Amino acid sequence: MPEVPRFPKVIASWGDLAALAAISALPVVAVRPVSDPSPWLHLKVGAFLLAGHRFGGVDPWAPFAAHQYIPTQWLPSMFTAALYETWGLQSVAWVRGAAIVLLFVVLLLLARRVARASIALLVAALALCAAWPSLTERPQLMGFVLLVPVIGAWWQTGSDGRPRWWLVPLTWLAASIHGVWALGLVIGGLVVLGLFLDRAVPPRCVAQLSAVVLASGVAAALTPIGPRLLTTPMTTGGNARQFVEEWFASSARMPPVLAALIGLGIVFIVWIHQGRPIPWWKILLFLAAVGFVLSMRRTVAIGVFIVAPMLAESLESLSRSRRPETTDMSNPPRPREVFSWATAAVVALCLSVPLAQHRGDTPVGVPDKLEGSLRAMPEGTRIIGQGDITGWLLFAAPDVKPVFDLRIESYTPEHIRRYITTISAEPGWESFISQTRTTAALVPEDSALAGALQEQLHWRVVGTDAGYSLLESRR
Amino acid sequence: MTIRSTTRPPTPLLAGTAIVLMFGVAVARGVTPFAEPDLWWHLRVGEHILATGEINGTDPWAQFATHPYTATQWLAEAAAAACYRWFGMGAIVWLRTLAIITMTLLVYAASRRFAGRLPSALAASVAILASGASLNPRPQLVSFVLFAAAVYAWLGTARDLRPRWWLVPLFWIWACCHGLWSFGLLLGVLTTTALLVDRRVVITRSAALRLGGLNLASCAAVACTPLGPGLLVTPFRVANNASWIADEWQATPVSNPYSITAVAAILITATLWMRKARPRPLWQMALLGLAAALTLWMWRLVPLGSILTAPILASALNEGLLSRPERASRSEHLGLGLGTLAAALVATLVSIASGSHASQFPQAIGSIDKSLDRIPEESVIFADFGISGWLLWTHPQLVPVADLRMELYGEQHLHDYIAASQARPGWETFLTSTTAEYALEANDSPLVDALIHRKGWSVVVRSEDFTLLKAPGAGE
Repeated sequence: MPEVPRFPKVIASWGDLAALAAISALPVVAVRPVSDPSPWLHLKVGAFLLAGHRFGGVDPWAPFAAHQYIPTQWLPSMFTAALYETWGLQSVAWVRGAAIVLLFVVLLLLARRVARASIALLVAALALCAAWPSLTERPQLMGFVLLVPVIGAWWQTGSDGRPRWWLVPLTWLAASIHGVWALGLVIGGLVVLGLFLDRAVPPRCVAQLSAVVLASGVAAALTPIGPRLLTTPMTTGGNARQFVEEWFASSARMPPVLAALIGLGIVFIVWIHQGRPIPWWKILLFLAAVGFVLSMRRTVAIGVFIVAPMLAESLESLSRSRRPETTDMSNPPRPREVFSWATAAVVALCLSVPLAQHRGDTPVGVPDKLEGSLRAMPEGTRIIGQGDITGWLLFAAPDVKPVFDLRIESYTPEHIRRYITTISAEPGWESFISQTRTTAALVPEDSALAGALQEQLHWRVVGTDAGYSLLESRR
Repeated sequence: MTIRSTTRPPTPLLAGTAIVLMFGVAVARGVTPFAEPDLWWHLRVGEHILATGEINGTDPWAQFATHPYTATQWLAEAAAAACYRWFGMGAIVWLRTLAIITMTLLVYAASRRFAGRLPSALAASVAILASGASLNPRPQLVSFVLFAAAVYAWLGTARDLRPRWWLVPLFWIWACCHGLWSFGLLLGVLTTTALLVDRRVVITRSAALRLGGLNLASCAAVACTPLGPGLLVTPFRVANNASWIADEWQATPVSNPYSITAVAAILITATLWMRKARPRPLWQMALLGLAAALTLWMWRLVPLGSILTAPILASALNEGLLSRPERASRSEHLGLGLGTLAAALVATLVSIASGSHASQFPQAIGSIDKSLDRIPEESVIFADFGISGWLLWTHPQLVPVADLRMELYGEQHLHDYIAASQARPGWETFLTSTTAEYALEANDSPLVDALIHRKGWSVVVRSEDFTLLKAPGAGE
């Protein structure tokens, strides 16, 4: 009898091949025209910082900003702005495509550590699909690329109890990129707590692991932003939770949320079916994943990433129970495998370049035909823009002054409330327009404010594009 | 379910305290003032049924309706209207409290099938707290009570494989009272399927046929009400419009104390299961899955999810206590009976004392009410969705452009109505097409501002929350 059955080998090679094909072909779907409202703001911030300016007491762009803006995402903003200066908008499209390829590779590695290549590929592809709505042209995407290895590291620590000190410099880098670094600390803290409750490691080891979490927190306080970075998630969240949709509770009917919940359901069923107690660190991660998926739309992707290794491990154990002869297929990825995936990733990054050149020049959802009219407005013109478009407005028309913009943490709740009232044309909108000396508006054509400004204040329509109307006071 | 006994059950004092607290939670929820916009149109429909005996046909109030009205909740509406006619709002409060107490007892009884007194009382209290936002005086309260009864019945069947035939008349009554009977049927079908599929459950062919027969008979009972078999499709008709307009038909936001409590109950159950090394019967897994799906899928289904979670949570808590559930005893039944009597007495006294002030919606509406009296009959009024039910109750002589019974109206009409409420471009055209000369809108409505400043309408009277407006020349 042959010692190694042939069937599993074929499966494994198909899994490897499929992974290579998926990585190489990913740019075809990952590279798209710039479609998110945020990158314009980050390009603006990046260019401002590259020019040597710094944010001080008075905001340079927004006359009604009440708080000093802290550019917490300075590194990707400056990086993208530098690329933009040389290669234009296509570089923004390329960065998104490249980041998605990298995210897929790290997800693949994360799942591959606990499952065979075919299962890892399936789980990584599902995780990428479920996280897709969050994979926009924003620094958050790069934050995800760094968060997945953090999840992987803590997952391994849960299994072997060993500290991973390289998480400390990684957290420094992540903290310079986006606020999701803080969730890496949460995940680490939960794993350490779980190991403590399980009494799976000696107290000395728990102390070492706690020191990794603590040192990572200290590293985050040592970026150029300083210790105040530690409190910015709370500052932003305070306003955003009240007014910004992506900070609202998620809905189980959203396909990514549903996919994540189904994944969690499968993990739960497999765990119960196994009939042995699940360690606390896994249970805490399971509960954290549920919390991230349900509590906020913007954290759904993070919940999905936490589910990924659990799901891969559960599917692997399910597969093993059906075909015990294939147990050797779930070893950690072989160097040859990692090398081939890395090569495929490089190929994908190269393939992204012509795709970005072809697709990246024309942005979607912004009224770029109105850019000329906006630039022709007198310097300092106060303008009210619909929330999402204000990032582009800051970027495309640097001389006009928006009465509100995407940097929600810069404004007082009272100002934001009045702004929302005005955008909805609720009673009191007229006084906001006059008090802020607003003389222009860039709002959706079918919005209540567009109608109110024309019918009541007799503003004229300067132009329309991409569903937006640019209106101007006749005075 | 067998539970190995390693410790003694909790002391009777502790369990007794938990039961008293359970009654306390139920009564407190029942007598708390409520702000329920739907109550008023249910009373209006109930009055109409009492007066005419009609439960379907052309709607007498909604001139812009495109579908005939079917009073799918006729029994509950007529009963509530009769009580209101005789005893006023106090009777509504009393009925509500009685329904909540009954629901609590049923959840406790269902939990006691698998757990001791303490975990059962705790789980029932959690179910009431999680359902709290929906326990308002509406026919859906009947659905919650009857769903608890169905859970009690099917958990019994899961344990002894015997069908509870009394579910058949229960479904007939349910179908006359409210539309959530469909989830009762789903519970039965799911439990039956799980029992049949689970290899560890030994079920004879005749027992399987009896369980299948019970499900079919329950479904047939729904089709045999005075509304006929057409009732089976009404939930879909209502859902067509409600699913995109009404907040309570949207997915549950896990951001308020009620939904957080409901989800927490499910997660605590799941955690206790994960820590206990024991494969579970398929029906338990299926019911916990259904509870999670109901809780998360729709805000109005959170009570159903919580009711279904309670016995499973109680069972898991009992395993955590490592004790065998106490047997039901005469003293327990006596205690529950006395508790129910005491709770009903408190409900009666509170209903008499403060029932007339229980309804908090709409508030301080007196001046608007008087002004509406002076509006000529058959006048069309553009009213806020929320207040339209009260308008039907107090001023049935007026014609609302739309009202809370959204299944009556065409989808395009409702889209235009909502766009006009937000004063979005095109609002004037729609308003003109309705010939509305009056409007009753929330003070912060964009339409109030638009009507005053762009159409020259004048404010007749303004309350704390609403503004009554009239067009130039209206009523002259």
